[in-house]
Formats: sequence, C-alpha cells, structure tokens
Amino acid sequence: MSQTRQLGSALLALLIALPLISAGMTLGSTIIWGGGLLLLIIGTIVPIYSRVHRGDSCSEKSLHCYWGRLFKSKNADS
Amino acid sequence: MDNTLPIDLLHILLALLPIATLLVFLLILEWSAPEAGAVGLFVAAGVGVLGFRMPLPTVAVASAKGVWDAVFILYVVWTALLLYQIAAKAGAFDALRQGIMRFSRNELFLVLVFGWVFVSFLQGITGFGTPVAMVVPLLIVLGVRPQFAVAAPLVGHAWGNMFGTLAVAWLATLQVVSLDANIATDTAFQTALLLILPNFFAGISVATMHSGWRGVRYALPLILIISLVHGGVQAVLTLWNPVLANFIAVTIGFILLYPLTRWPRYRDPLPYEASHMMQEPNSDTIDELPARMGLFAALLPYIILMIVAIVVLVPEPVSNLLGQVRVGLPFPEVSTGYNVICPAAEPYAPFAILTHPGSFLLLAAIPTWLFYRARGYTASPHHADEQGNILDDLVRDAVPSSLAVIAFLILSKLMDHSGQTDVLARGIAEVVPPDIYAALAPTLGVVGAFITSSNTASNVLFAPVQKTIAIVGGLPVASILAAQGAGAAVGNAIAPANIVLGTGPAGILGQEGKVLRRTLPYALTATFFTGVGAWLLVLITGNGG
Repeated sequence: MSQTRQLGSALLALLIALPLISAGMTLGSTIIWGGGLLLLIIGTIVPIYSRVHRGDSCSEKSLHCYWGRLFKSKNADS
Repeated sequence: MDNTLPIDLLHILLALLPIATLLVFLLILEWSAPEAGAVGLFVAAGVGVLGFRMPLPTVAVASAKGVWDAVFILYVVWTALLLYQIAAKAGAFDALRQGIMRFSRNELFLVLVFGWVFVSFLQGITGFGTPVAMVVPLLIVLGVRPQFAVAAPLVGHAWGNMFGTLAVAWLATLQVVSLDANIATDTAFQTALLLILPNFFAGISVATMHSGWRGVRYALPLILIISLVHGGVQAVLTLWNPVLANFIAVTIGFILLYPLTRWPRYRDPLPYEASHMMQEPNSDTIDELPARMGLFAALLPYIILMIVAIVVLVPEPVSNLLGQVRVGLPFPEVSTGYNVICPAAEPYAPFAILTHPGSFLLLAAIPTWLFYRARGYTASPHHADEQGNILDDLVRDAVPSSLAVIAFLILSKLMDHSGQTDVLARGIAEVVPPDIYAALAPTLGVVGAFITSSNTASNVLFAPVQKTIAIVGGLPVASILAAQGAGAAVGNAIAPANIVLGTGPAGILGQEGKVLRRTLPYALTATFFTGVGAWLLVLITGNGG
C-alpha cells in the first residue's frame, strides 16, 4: 500500500472516530465510543507505522534496522 | 468545586513532557509533523492517564474534540491547496511573478511585500492559516527557497492574529474574561501597543532572512514606514473599534506599497548579490515562456477571496445571518481524578460553515477554475502533462498535513482536559515573583499558541488564568491580558499546525522542523521584547487596574 493510501486510511479512521465517540458518549454506549477510541488510536499510530515500514532499505528485520529508520532523518534539505 | 491539581515540580515537569517531546522529535530528530505529532499526543495521553488521573472516557472526549477542532483548520487546508493547485496548473503564479516584476525588480522589496505586508493584509480578513497557505506559492515563484517561503509568511503574519480575521481572538478573549468597558478598551489598546514590537521584528526578521544586517539596513525605511502604519494605526483604532482596527491598518499598509514602488531604492534591482534565501528562478517556465494570462487573471483568486470575505464579514447583518448556520457534535461532561471538569457541550464549538474562511476559499476556487477553463489557461500545451491531476495532487499534499493538524489539536485537547495546561500556567505563576511576572506573561501566550496553533485558543485557555494571576499579584489586569494576547500572536510563528499549512504548498512536507528552526529566532526575540514592553506597561499603568 502506498504511503498516501496508508495516511489517507488513517485520516478516514480519525474522521469516522469523531461521530462514534460523540454518539457513544452521548448515548452512554461503551462499545460505540470504545470503537471510536480504537479507530482514533489506529489513525494516529499509522504515521509512525508508516515511518518504520516505508521503503525497504534494510536487508534484515532487526531491531537495529528499525531503530535506524526511526531515529535517522530521511528528509533531504531543500 | 475547584480542581485539586497538584502544583508541584513533578507535575509541572510532566505537563512539559508532551511539548518537549514534540520539540525534540521535530527539531532534533527531524521527524515529519504527522509523525512527531502522533508521538506527542501519545505522550500527552500517557501523562494524562498516569500522572493526572485522566480516565479513558475523558481521553476519548478530549481526543474527539481535538479532531473536531482540527476540522476547522482542515477546511482551510484542503480548500487553500485546491485553489493553489488550480492556479498553479493554469500558470497563474508564473504570470503573477512576471506582472509584479513590472512594478519592482527589487527582490528584497518583493520578499517583504509578500512575506510581511501582503500576508498581513490577508490575515486582516481571512485567518485560520489561509494567509500562509496562499502566500507560500507566491514567494516560491519569486525565487525564494521553499523553507524560507514558509518561514517568512509565518513570521510576517503572526502579529495580525490578535486583531486580524475581524478580531476573532479579541472577541473570544472578551467571552472568557469579564471586563468592564474601560478595562476592555485599555486591554485592547495596550495589546495593540505591544503588537507594534512583533510587527516591527517581523519586518526585520524577513529582511534578515534575505540578506542579514545588510538587508535590514537597506529595507529599514520600508520597515519603519510599514510598521508605523500597521502598529500605530491599529493601536489608535482599537480605541474606536477593535474589530476593524487591524483590517483598516493592513489595508492602508498594502495601499502604501504602490508609492513605495516609485522610489528607485525599492523599484530597481538590489545593488548587491542575491542572498542564500533565494534560488535561481525556474527559467523554462518564467523567462523563456510568455505568461499565459495577464496580471488581473493571475490575481483573480485573491480578488475573489477578498471580495467574498469583505461582503460576508464586514456588514454585521450579513455576517450575523450567515453565522446562524452552524453544525456541531454534542459531548457530555467529563472529569478527571483531580476534579478537572469539562462541562457538557450541546453542541461543542459549532462550526459556522458559511462565514468560515474555508468557504471563502472554496467560493474563490470554483469561479477561478471556471474562468481559467473558459479562457483555455488549463489547456496550455506547455502544461499538458500536468492537467487532470488537480485532485490527485490535492490529496497527496493535504492528507499528511491533515494528519499533522489533527495530531497537534488532539495533543492540545488532551493537555487541556487532563489539567496539564492548567498546571503549566499556575506553575509558572507560582514560581515567578509578581514584580517580574509581566515580563514572562507573553511566554504563556506563546506556549498556548504553540500547543493549539491558535491565538484565539491560547487566549481562551490562558486569559482567565492570566487575569487571576494579575488580581492575586496586584498587577494591572489590562497589561497582563495585553501581554497574553500579544504573546499568543507571536506563538503563531512557531505553531506546528501553522507550519504544516505552508510546507504542503511549498512541496517540502516533512521538513517542518527545519522551518521551525528558521522561525524560532523571531519568536524568541519578539517574545523577549514583548515581555520587556509588558513590564514597562505595568510600571507605567501602575497596580490593580
């Protein structure tokens, strides 16, 4: 899945979470607002997931490799 | 019943943790805004649950309110990027550059015109980040490097946030703190006096970005004239009508540019070499190809935007009528273990869709696209490969920006609903003696705007706290509230969600930390001098105002 699609899905999840939490809290339904909160967590975690899994410059799936992806900037200067 | 938040070192440090995390991930680790924002909000939630006794329903409601607050800004992000794509694909920015160069070939003057004067003018009527998103492409076609093209308008527009957008931040302040008429007038006037400093330093900063002190020396007459008009006229007009003060001041400033282009100092090319702020213009689109449209057609989106905003917002009956169309979602009352209570809202922060700048941008985008299409600008053989991609490019640019804005606003609401912002504010007030509190009062405003990316939200969060601190410390309420408002305006230059509004159109998504490094010196300087100004105001106006 391309990064734009991943992030687009995350955005959709966040927008769906909004009415679910509002309705769930107003109606007193833990399942509805809990589902909304879960969607919200998924939506916000996707950018970090996307950072870890973007491209594939690592030949092995080691902790060191993921650490490198997390804490080394890939952004080129303008 | 008052909350029972512990104001101790541990909780002050815990409350600082989300902001510190955000800064570290943006500035040091150089993560992109959506990534850094996500980490920041998880830290804010963790601190809220573990350190501030925030139950899960409160986390859910705070987060959902954050998403809802973000929708306000996203409406601007998406429509501003849509307008940008339409104009860019039709070649409007190339035409604009060629048209403007007929009036002046002085790049420092043009950078100041767009990065300070024009962006302030747009802030006078639109706001919510629209001015930044609209000016960034103009600076890029002038040859400004993308990071500077974002940094300059961020700095240039910040001062206008307090009384810009027809003083929405000022009106919000009046809603959250009850002031009698005399103190309200004093507060507005003193706020405008303090804003002279960030406005002046905005001009200085943009000139410094261009060519250091040499640029400042060369631009100084222009900076003095414009800042005197922006700051002076606004200050005087706040005594009459704070709502229109900024709009009139920035309009006069904008009109004054024309006579300044007659002055050879600002009409002719700079007498020294180009700066590191500038890059070589894209010669194949600018110099070798004649513009497909005239200056008027290129300016059409801006003209429509201004007309729509003025027609909708200035006549009170029209804005009142259209402002009645509001949508919002209900949220119940939630609280924390420290008795921080957020009352029920039915609906929460209703969205006046017809008077929102996003609607103005949409109303500007549709006729602009129809006009360009009817005139054949969208079917140029030079740009045939670019046609038909408006929506694809819009989605590509707007989605990451949207995620970042949502993350920042959820973080802000989590800090608010858990009591972290309250602890931060009261902690500063307890640590700092009243004698020097005035000098630090703008810092609280800056922090509020940094967290919320909004002058209005910073004032709503902190103006009541500032007022209480002023009364308890025997300080003049008007001066402390003025420091809050001016600080909150300055904070807009470094607010991550505002930066994202510029990095999208600049095509440098992910470089928000680098832009922040360029705006930070301005924010620190302006905050320091605003603090000095506030301290002097307290000395002059005396105690207990």
